Amino acid sequence: MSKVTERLSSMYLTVWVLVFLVLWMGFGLYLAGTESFTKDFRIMNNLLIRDWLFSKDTGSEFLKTWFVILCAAMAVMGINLIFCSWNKIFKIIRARFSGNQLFMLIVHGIFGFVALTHLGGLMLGFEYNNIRLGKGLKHTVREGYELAVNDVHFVGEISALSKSKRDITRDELNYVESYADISLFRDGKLLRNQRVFLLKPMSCGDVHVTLRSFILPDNGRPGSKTEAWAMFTISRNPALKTFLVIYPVMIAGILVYLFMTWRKSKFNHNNNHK
Amino acid sequence: MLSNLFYIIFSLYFILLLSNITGYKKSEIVLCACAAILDLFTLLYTLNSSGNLPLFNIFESFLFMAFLLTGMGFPLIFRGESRWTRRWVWIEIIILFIIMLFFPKEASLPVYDHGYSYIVLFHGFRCIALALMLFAAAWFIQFIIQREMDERTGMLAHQGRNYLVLSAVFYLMGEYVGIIWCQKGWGDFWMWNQTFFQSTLVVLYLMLAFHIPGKGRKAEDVRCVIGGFSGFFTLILSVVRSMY
Repeated sequence: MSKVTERLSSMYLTVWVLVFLVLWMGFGLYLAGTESFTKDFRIMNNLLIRDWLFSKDTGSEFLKTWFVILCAAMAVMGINLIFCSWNKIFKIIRARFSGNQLFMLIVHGIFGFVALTHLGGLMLGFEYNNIRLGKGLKHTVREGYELAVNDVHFVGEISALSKSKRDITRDELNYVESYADISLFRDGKLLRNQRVFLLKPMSCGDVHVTLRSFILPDNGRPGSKTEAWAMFTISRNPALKTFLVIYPVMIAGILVYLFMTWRKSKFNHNNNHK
Repeated sequence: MLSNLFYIIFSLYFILLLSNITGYKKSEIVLCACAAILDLFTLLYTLNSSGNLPLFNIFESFLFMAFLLTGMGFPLIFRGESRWTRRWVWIEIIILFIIMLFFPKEASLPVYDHGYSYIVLFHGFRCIALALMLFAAAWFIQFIIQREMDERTGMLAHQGRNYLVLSAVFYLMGEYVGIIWCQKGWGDFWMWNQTFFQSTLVVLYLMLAFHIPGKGRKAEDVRCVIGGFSGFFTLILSVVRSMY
């Protein structure tokens, strides 16, 4: 093995990349808490990352640089994972690897796929947030989907809608009985009519229409005759199903590995030693 | 009422630690059982008063973690060699109570969606994960302090590692149900905000703790220091998170 591949497969590289990622994420945490960047992170959340990253009109350049460096560090970790796994496959061929270590290698492979589908969720499909609509209103997105609201049924105290979501109590909002009746069209053709509730979105193939919250109408004030509006997200994430399937497989793999190595063995207790 | 119960349980845990230090095993058993029962009673009381499972604010969740830690520490009383490990567990519980001193001793607000299963599971798994991280830390601390490197000492580090991996499993389970909650509630499984960054920081930190290379005592010490700090790292992030 050449020196370059040896370094790329090194556990020390893994550690340093992880240390960097902890620090970089910590920096992101700090930025997200500062007033000057809160708005920029909100813009980041309102679009698919691909659209946010490659648009010249939206998003802070500083935040884009932060994100690109984060992705670069993840890419280095991915390369490290590939080389390290390759190295271990050679060891398996030479029969210098135990069953537990082989199992952990598989779990690492699944982790790689989890990371890839996560990236897919950021880069593929589309996402439009904060679509504010009342009864009888419509909204069309670039991909040709049109969302029409037929009815908004809010059970609770309308005045509570001016509060933060975290402060709305059960007495102020009955989220099980409150709903919105919606229709989804594509290029003028009706795809589906459905009643959506909070935490119960509409799925039409890969496309999801999510009722995020009930809100006061635009320029509206809370009053006894005020009719609530609703806020929606229209999104499509082609990697979602795969992500949701392989993530628990990865967790189960770690759990099985833990059971396999619960008792300390001379051969398998730690595969990190180099 | 809750405030009084808090100070009574706090005192019980403090006397429990003293009985461990002085070596009164029988009183340690009785005090441990009393503290756990009273802790459980307080949790049930908050459940009754808010209608939420006691997982949603610092007071409730830390009481729940203290209960879990007591449950994990109790069987160690019957294992003669674990007196010091137990001591670290009792100290960790007291640290939890010291943090609780700075927060309101009240049940959480009955927020409209706090009965939703994914939200409950998310918070529950996180509490279990953090309790396991702290329990792992007790084994790691004992390993670092015990200087002679024999097989028994090696077992301390291995037990710490076992509980840390188990905590990672629970933490990831929490993340998974959190992802489903987020997908159903916001239409995306990822958000660029402080809450998500904190979760990722914990996952990255755990990954770091599991990937420290090297052989021998020094490398094992580094693994144990980083692994042992994971509970405190998560604890700090939880406290910071509760402030915004």
